[in-house]
Amino acid sequence: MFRFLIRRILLAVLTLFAISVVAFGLFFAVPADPATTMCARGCDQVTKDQIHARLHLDDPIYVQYFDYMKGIFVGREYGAGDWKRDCPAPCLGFSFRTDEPVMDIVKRSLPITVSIAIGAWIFELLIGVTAGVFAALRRGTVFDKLAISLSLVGAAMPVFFFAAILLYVFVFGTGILPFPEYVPISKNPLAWAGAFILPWLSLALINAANHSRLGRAQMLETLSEDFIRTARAKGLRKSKVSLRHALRAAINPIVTMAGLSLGGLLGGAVITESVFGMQGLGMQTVTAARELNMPLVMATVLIATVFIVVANIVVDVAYAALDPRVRLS
Amino acid sequence: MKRRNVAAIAATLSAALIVAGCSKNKGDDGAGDNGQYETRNSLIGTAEDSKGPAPEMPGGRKGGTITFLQNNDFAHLDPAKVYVSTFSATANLIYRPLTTYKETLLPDGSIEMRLVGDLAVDPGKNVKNDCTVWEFTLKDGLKYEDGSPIKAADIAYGVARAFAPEAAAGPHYIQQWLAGDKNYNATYKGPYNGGAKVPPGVTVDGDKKITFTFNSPHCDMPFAAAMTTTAPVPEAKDTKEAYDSVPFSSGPYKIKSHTRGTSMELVRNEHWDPSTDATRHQYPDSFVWKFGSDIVATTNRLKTDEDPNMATYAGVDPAQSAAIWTDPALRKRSIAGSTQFVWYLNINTQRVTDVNVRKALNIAFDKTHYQQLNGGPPAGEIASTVMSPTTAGYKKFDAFGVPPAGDPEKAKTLLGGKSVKLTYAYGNTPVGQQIAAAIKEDLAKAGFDIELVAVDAERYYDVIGDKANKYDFYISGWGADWPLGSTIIPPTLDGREITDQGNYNSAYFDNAEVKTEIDRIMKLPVEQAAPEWAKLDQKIMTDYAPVVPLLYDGAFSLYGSNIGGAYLSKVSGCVNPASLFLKS
Repeated sequence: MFRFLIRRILLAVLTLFAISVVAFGLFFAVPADPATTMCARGCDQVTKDQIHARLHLDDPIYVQYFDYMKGIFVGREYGAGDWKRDCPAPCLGFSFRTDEPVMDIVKRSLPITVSIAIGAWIFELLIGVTAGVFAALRRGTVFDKLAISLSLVGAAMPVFFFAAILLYVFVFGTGILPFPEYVPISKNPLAWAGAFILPWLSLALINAANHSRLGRAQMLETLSEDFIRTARAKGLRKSKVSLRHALRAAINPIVTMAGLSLGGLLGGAVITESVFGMQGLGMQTVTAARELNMPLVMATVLIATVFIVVANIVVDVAYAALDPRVRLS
Repeated sequence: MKRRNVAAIAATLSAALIVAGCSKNKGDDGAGDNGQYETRNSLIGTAEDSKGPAPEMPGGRKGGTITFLQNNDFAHLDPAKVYVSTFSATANLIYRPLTTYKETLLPDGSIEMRLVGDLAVDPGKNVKNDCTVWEFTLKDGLKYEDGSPIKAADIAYGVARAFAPEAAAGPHYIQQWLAGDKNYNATYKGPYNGGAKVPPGVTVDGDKKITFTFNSPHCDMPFAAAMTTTAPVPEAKDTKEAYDSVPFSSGPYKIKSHTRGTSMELVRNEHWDPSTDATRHQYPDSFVWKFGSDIVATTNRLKTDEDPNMATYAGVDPAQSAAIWTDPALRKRSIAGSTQFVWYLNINTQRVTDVNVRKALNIAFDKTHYQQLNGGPPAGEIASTVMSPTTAGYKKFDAFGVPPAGDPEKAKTLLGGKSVKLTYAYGNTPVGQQIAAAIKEDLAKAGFDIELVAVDAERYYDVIGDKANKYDFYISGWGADWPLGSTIIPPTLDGREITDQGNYNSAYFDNAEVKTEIDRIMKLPVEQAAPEWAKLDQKIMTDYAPVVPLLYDGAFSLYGSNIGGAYLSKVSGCVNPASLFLKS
């Protein structure tokens, strides 16, 4: 187990390194000068050169990359003279657009993204896995057919459309809910949940479709296995057979999908954040990419990568915990 | 002002502080027989006009909180860096430059606009009458948010800050005029690192007098002084990069809190004296900006009047604009009209050298089709001039006398029946593709054979700004920094401005007669120059046709039902927050 973890963590570090190199390289492949967006009309070459010097944009790309990575681990200084600023580790640089520390942007965006992701994830698993398992256990019944049909609708529904419908029904049409506005959970847990209920439902009801379809298929396959028949023949209760034996055997692919789904959600649910006007990590990434705001692009890409890589490791560990046949070594 | 891009770049780059004169005082100067100049009574106001308090808004009352919805936070609020119209409109609540624009709502609903003194007692004194030395005297009783007096040295320090390379995002006019060089900060780099606190060319005499001395005449100085570059910054309050989030107040409101990317709250500045201010009000107790609301969410929230105390600078969601435009109840809660921007088809005159081909393009082009593909009437009015109707001295004319939908037959005759092959470049967006297809189809009726070339939308302006580009025509927008032809015709149609890259003169129009005329008008006092720019506009279009004016860009946005005092500011092209109040 320990060796496995070490190996996976090393692989994760390698992945992060590769992604950071690619993201950094891609930014430099774009034939546009960030100094142009930071300088007003009539910008002269002297001013552009000064901006380049201040941001070290004229340094060789590997030097810039090294300085950036150094900033993450030990911090660095930006600017010169009266405008010199310390950027303590983990330093992600300063926004090209607003000149504020990227860490500050991450600190205010991440709680929004995490709130959306965790809530939506819990809802989608509760709804999806429960519906899938019960549909399998009651195969052929009205419940099964309904669950299958609804999951088909959910899987086919684009999130921007479904989110807009929810907004029209609950906010603009009936006024049952106010327009979602982010409130930190530490400030008012109820208002926090109230703000996220529609984003959670938008994502959960759509993503639940995948879990329910997979859950149903896995359960049906497992229920037809010999060991289930044996367990039933031994006289075990149906509920015990279903939950302890069948579900446990069927759960691995569901855990895989759940883990990756959480990783993806934490990387930023761009469309959902956009529809509900929430400045999470996803929205920040899109805006930063459009504005060639490289420090912010790098930060959001790295954070999203960390989430996905960590989700993968957690999934692998969970495999072993759930299924003794899996040997981590 | 910057060219206007199709997408979000507009928001970041389009600068503001453009004015518009809108009182329609007909004054035919006899220069044309198919239109009249629309000028204001007086473009530049007097010391009397500069005195406070501002005339009350009809029904104006104090109290309450107005909430503004906005997608992104203001990238800049530092007066040395502000150059976008919505940033300026907001900054106008917080600090005051030397001069400003006074917009008076006339009983017929139109707006009279004059440049007046803001911190200064008048719009500036042309000391030698040759526009090289400008003197401004400060009003009495001017105070900052802490009650300390506003001094001329603070304005000099504010201008000095604008020389710093860190402040490159702001306008460069005054710095370039003071330095006498486009490379304005090659030697003097602002008051930091031991630099002088008063920039070269600026002198401060006591606490009340500041003088700007230029090497060459700059008759537009009173207008340049209305940009935030001349807002006062006390050296002791200069927090450098932090100043961009929380500038020190000299206006009717001060910043109570500003959580970047989330919200900003402005509350009354009790030390602001309305008797010193000819243009601003202090009706609401506070303003709150909430960031993160995109155009669709903002439109829906305002449409349903979820909070009747809400307003926005943002336009209406394009997908809903036609429906809202035709809904009488919603139109009552909207502002609509022309902004300072104009959209043009730029004809690359390096390649399309036959003036008859350029005229035929003007004659054949179906502008109604273009307007329709951009969202119909809310997108703007059909244009026929280089200068926007918001420009002083604007004269309505149509050099070719064709209907907005064009006249392909007339164009065909001009082309002598021959087929002309041209290449059209466009930003590769869904709307860009639709417009390209329409242009190809419409111009084919006149005998044009158009090859369409899609260009990456993010690089579009770099491509058409490259002098060596291989395209014959393409669309771009332009808006002036102040309401004079001097910030429209010279930057976009003066051949001396053409460089290898980054051109705003993307028609690459270089004509000796026009350059001579530009030089002549630039030396005129602005009141005399205004109609001369309009005449030059007409001459350029009639004789040389380097562009096809397409649309006078339209502003169209909603506000809540309890908001009073809303009008489309000709200064910013958006609602003016300084006039807003809550009806109850």
